[in-house]
Amino acid sequence: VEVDAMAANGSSQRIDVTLVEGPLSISTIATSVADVDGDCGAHLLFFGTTRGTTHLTGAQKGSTQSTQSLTYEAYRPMAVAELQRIAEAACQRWTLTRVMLWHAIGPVEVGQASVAVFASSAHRAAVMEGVPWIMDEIKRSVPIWKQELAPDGSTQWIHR
Amino acid sequence: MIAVELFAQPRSIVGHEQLMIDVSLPQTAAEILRAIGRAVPELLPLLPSCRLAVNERYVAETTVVNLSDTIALIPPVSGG
Repeated sequence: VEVDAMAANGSSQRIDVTLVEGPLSISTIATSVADVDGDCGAHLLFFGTTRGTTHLTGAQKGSTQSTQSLTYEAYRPMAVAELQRIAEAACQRWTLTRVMLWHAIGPVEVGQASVAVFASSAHRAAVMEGVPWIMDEIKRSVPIWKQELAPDGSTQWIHR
Repeated sequence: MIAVELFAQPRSIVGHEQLMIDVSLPQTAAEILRAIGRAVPELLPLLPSCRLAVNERYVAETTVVNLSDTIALIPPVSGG
């Protein structure tokens, strides 16, 4: 995994946010989080991958849409700053002792990982509540966009 | 003239990473958004859901933007 030069280390050693060129390596991330804090009893690693089939909702309910790959673009300095803000807020709100965030930039094929979140805490409730909140915030505010490539070769920016 | 950083669909529509618009600063973020719409009418359908970032932070529409600021048009994000 090539780590982007824009990666920022937080003011606290508990936080690390990274933009990665291309898909995330799940095995590399799993290795990097294996050295856990001995005072923490709960650790949660979430990763999101490109899905090949989307079941549509609303007026198009019942039909599906196929995806060949996604390409991510970021406003890099602001994306790093927003990831850092989210990680710091999560640490305070849920007493997390460690938060690590990764997001892929560039093409990510079906089945490959585009986003990963790792959190540690003394007890499981904090990580199991904090990680979903972190993902919701990433999807709400981090200036990263996906462009979808369909099997017919057409592309579409996703803005929703 | 001021430069506005563009990303994703707005960048595709304009065809450049920056849009130069004719606005005298200081000016509010809301007025800059209106000026973007006047400069590129093709962006008008997307603008109501866009936010403006100044110096890499989201700002309210009433925020005053100055000459030394970095301005970016942020369409609805879709990371994850």
